[in-house]
Amino acid sequence: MNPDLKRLRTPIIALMIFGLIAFPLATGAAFPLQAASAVSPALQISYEPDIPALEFVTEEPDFIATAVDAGEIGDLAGEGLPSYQRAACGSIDDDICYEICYLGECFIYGDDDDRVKRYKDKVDEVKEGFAKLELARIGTGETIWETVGTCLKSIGAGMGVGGVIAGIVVVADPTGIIKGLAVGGAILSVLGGGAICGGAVVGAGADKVAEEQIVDEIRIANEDAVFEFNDLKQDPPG
Amino acid sequence: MNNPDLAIKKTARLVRVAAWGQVLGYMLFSLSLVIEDAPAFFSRVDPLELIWPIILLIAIHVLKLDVVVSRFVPRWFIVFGILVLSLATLAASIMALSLAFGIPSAFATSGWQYLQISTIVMFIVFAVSFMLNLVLSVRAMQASDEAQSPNVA
Repeated sequence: MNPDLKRLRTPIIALMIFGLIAFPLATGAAFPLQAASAVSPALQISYEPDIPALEFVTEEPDFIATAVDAGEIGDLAGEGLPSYQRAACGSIDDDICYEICYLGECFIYGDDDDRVKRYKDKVDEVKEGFAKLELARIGTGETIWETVGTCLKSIGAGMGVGGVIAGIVVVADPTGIIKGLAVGGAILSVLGGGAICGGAVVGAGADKVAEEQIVDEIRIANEDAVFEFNDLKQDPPG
Repeated sequence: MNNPDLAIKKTARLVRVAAWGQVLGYMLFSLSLVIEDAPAFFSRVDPLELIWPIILLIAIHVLKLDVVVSRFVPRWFIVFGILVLSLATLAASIMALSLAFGIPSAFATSGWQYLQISTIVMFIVFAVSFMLNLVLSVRAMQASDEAQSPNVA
């Protein structure tokens, strides 16, 4: 055997072993996304419309400890958003009354008026929207982590495999079409990893669409609640 | 030191810096999720996924993987692979920023602000890493050219 080749044999074998370890990582790089989502605990929002604060119930309460910490959302009035709470009816001829507030202005109405019911429903929708948005945030963090991990693993593995091929090209020094194919294969292995990474990045874009939908739902429900608030203010129940 | 050694040394440094940059960005974001999920630390982060970056760093610093790679893998391929990798993670971090800041600022709860800060940190790490990789890639290629050119001195 050529002495040069003999000297290079050990590092080449080491590189090939590295490539063999890295390759399964690359081929399995797309799976962690599905696997992780399957393993994640199923989340469930329990929502009590008559309670101003949000209440999350999950199989693992600690999981969204920080999200629940965002209980500041529960105080919609503090956020300048439409809100309501039970209040004494006083002179109002009704059994159940609510104090409804928006931008610091508050009024008490009986719930017999359909506009009050609609207002309450819309405020509840706003609250539910915020709860959905918090859950979306938790999923977003996980998606980002998995996407970056997929990019590192897929391209890293592509580099490992391509590095072995490129290393063999240097040692064996093939000529003509074989060299061209080997160099092309090395480049493609990296680009293949890049394609897996790109797919993960594009896939993460779906989370953005979901986020925008939730934000739109909150906006629309908020506008509807404000409409009912103003209508009640201009034309109070008789 | 002759030029081939210098070229290998510069390429090995590129490999080390690239590996550290990528691992740092990934581990910092992982850490942010782990801290956020406390005390259920690994609710979103699979601990097994945190092992391979450590193995990579051990391979570089203990087994001298950077030197082995620099010696036996063509320089153009190392530079190409590292630039593709760092560009991809930079793109992923930009996507992360877009997700974290995709809501109106008025809707940003403390949880969203935490996510925004952690994605900013990750973006900065990957952006700095990309720029460093770019500079070191140029230097490695220059050293490689010098190694191949005849010594006229």
